[in-house]
Amino acid sequence: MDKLNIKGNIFEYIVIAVKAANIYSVIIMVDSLINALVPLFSVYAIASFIDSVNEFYINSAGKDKLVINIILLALIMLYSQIHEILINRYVQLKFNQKMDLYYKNHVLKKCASLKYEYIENKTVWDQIHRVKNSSCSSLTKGFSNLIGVISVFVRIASLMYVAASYNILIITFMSIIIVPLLILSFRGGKETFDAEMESDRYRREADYYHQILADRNYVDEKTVFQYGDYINEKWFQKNEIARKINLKMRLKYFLRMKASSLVTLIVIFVILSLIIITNDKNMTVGFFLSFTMALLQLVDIMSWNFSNIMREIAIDREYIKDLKDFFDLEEKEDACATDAEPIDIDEIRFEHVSFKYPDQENYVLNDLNLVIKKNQHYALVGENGCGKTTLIKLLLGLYDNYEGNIYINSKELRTYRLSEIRGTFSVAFQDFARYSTTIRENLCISDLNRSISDEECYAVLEQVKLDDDVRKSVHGLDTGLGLVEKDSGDLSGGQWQKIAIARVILSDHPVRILDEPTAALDPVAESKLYDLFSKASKSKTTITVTHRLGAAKLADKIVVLKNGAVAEQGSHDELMESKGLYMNMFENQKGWYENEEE
Amino acid sequence: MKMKKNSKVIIKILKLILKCTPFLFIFSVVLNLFHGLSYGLITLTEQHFFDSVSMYFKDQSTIRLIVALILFALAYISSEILNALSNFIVEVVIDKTTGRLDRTIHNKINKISAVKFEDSNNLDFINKAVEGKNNAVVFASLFANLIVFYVPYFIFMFVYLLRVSVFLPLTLIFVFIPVVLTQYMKMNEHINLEEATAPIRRKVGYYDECITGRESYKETRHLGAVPFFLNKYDDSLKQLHDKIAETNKKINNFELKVSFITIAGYVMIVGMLIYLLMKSDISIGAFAAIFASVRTMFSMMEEMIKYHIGNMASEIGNISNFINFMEIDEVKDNDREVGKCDIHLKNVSFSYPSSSNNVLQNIDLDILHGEKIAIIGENGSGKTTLAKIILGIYEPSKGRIIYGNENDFCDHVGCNKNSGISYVSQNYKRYKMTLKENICLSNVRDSVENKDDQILKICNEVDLDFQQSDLMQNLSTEFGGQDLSGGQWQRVAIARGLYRNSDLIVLDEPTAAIDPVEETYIYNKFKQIISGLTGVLITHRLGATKIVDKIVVLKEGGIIGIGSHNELMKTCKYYSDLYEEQRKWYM
Repeated sequence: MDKLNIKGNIFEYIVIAVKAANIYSVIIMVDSLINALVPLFSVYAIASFIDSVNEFYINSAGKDKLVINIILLALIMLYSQIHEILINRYVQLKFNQKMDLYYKNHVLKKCASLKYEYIENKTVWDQIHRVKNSSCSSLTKGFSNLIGVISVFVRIASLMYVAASYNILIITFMSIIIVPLLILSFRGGKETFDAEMESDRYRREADYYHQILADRNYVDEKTVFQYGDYINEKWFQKNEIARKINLKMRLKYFLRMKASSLVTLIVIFVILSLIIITNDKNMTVGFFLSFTMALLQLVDIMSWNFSNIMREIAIDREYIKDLKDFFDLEEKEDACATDAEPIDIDEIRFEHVSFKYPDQENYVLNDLNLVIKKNQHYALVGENGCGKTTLIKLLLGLYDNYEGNIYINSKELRTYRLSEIRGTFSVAFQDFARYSTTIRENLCISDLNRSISDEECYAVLEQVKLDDDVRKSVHGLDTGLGLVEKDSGDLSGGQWQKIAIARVILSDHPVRILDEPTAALDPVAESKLYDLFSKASKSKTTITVTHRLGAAKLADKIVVLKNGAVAEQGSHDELMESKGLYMNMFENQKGWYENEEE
Repeated sequence: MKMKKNSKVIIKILKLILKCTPFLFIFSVVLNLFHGLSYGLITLTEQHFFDSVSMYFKDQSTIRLIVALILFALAYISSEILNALSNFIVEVVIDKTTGRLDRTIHNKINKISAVKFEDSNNLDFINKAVEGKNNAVVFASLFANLIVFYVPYFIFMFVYLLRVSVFLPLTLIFVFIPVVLTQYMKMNEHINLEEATAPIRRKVGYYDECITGRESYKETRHLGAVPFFLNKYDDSLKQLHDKIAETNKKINNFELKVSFITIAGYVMIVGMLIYLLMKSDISIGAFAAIFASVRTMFSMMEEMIKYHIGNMASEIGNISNFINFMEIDEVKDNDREVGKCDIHLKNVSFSYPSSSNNVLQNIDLDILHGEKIAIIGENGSGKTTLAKIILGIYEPSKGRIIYGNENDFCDHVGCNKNSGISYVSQNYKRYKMTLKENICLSNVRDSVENKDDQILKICNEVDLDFQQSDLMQNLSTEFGGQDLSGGQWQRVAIARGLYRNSDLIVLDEPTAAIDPVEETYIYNKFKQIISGLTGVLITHRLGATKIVDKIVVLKEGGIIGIGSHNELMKTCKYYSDLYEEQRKWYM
């Protein structure tokens, strides 16, 4: 599918609709024009009907004409029924679904292709979710609101045209009244929108207090500290503020709407009086009555429909801008691709690398220098926030706005394509994903193009001691996990961690990274898992991030980070000998196990 | 039977809602009644006007026509004004009632025992109650509208038509039947559709989450699995669309057939009107007026059945969730001072609701006033649950917990307002409020005025470097403040625990990623904190037990050893094994 390019113009709703739903959008547009003219047609049909009834009543003549007129009325009725089903339901549904598919596909692809720095930026993340959750209904609404405005105009204009043929004054009179009404409606729309935004702010705060009260994660503290009533009161205050802003806005909205409908009504009655007073003999009683009915129907349209449409158009104008901003976000090339081309790594070299997260002041990495050699095992240790995980993120190409250089085999990391990076590193994150697919897909997800045999899978599962559990389950490797598909099982937290590590081992990438996928385990279980991993990765380069020094001992080389730079590096023994930061940390943890009496 | 149950629910709902804002509610009912009747008035003045029009075309009496037009206009305008007023008041009533009911729900939540929140069979009972409440409000307003607006309108039209001719009211049936039939059919189809599509919807949502969810974003992309999930997403979305389209096709076909009844009814009414006109039973004005009001009747009927009755029927199911929620047992409201005495657990067992597994089994434990104990054990051994029992968050399923003297013990059931006891949870919360509130939330009974010095002193104790001016700073970027670092939050949580007036404090170890230096710091802090109090420390880090008098070893929910470190090393093999295993990583 083509790329979606939006400039933020309100008429783009129509452009997008035509692109997404081609024929259906055209049908809807043409239909709404025709439909706007139906009332005009009805005026004549009903007029003719009443006149023929009248004639039949007065001099019992024109029976054929009467029958034809009744058939005509029935046909109009039939038309409106069929129209409702065929256009308003069938075509509209097709239209909506086409739009839905088109929109969601584009939004998802866009989301998946974004530069990674956006994902950790709260404002952008909120924006993404606003766009995503608004679903395509905002787009279809924007489209139908525009069409709606046009068809209301056509409808009014056509009726005015009829009236004008009896008295030309009416046209001038109408335009003097209608233009200010439209401006009023439109202004009101904008004002309503602004007030909604304001009350929304308080509503969000209230929602947060509601969450504290209702979310089970808060129950423990709420029970011990007994702040339930206090929070409830705070909730109520915020909610009342939001409600009152809303109330004031709705009051204005109603006043405006009814003012315009009253003006419309008065105009209609004046028109009727004008017609009566200046009546030339051309007009029949039927026409007069039928025209009155048609005009009165305008009142509802002018008040409810029109005010609503105008309010929504104000929202639509903001929404399309939002959409434009979203689609203007920068993308990372290749992000949605599957291909992976491993680089044969000799060494990875960080040279004077400094990095701070976008929108933050402090540098997380600060003039960091480090060399990682082929087939060695590395452990990254250090305090919270010393830059361990950031270093991994840079390596994976998630950010490229760092200072200094990272070379892989003397070529800068930024000059590699994402598919090469993807093929080189396999990683288990601290918050690794638990995909609700089959066990096989979970293991092989990075190599779905390569067919991996059952033996291979089981061999790896055996290495992490999960093979027995998998063999025991009903469908073996094809057992579904999670709650998405029917007949699926679930794994314990520990088993999931093993899957995550098995996924890393199974992929044939030259560099394997564990970024604390085991944080929730107790220290002994964690250390055992690291032991398994390093045994399974003998001929690979591995990087393990950990804060448990017991596990770090296993590495060939331990890299101690402090304040975003390498403070020390060497094997466990070397570091203990040099009596630096590492030894201090190690003794700190060890200290808990040294009995004073011993 | 079901009807009877439903009508009970409806009565309860109406009572609850009427209590929220009785005056406004009744006012809106009255307005609506007049609003409904104003439509009748329009029909009457319309007939008069139309009659005058037809007279005018015979005798040109402009005055009478203008008078009739003015009357008609007045009826129309007053109806418009009533329409605006009643709609607005209904909105006010709905908003206000929703707010009041939400507060009632919150009050109720605060009185529900914590263990109910762990019922895995009924995890989102609060969301369901809130949803049920929203539906209840909508239901009540629809119900009131039906009774005071539509019913009077149709009664009026019935009488009006009856006075014209005995046969005319029969035509109402033709208006009525097709709408009811379609509505019935639609409702059934939609229920089926909902059932058939719910799993597909879940799938669609899940695959979306795999691609764009925060947890899986970077991983899915790095794995090159975006197209894999995108395909799955597209397939399930198309599947969903097809299901919906299928149901709609069924409904459309049905409705197309039914619409012929509608048209037949319409033609019949017109025919009957002409017949009556020929018999001179009605005037040409009445003919036109009735003819005009037939359309209004059609749309009113459709509105009433489709929107009002249809929605009422679909919402009533959820409403009982709300009523059931309001009838959940509450814990008793008695305050109790528990910090200054010994605590005895007698044969305590505990299992979560809807689970038969005992998380704790036959626990006998005495915690003497001023004593410091540690509870240790592996993941899942029941440590945190035991702490929650001591804190009074959960009640024992069996056995009892006695605070203080055996003689004047307060039976544990229902006592959840324990004072004199504080807690630092491993899942401590980061409140999106000011720093001051984040600390003072643990003791909201006392006024926070003039407490700034005390708060800053506590901050100082836990090495939080804040000034007085920082206290009013909001701690979330969402509400215009600034977030703290992980380590700072941890300290704020400790400060919160300290701010509460307490003689007993339970410290649940922070297990999430914490570096060794910070960890050492926190244990030293814990040691300092509990020095003057009764202290319970929960940990799986055995080395940390040096700071306590007594260690309780938990395994699979039972106590397998109590004593000092040295005693346990000799008597409890499980403990000494565990200790050695942990220690070996540091040798």
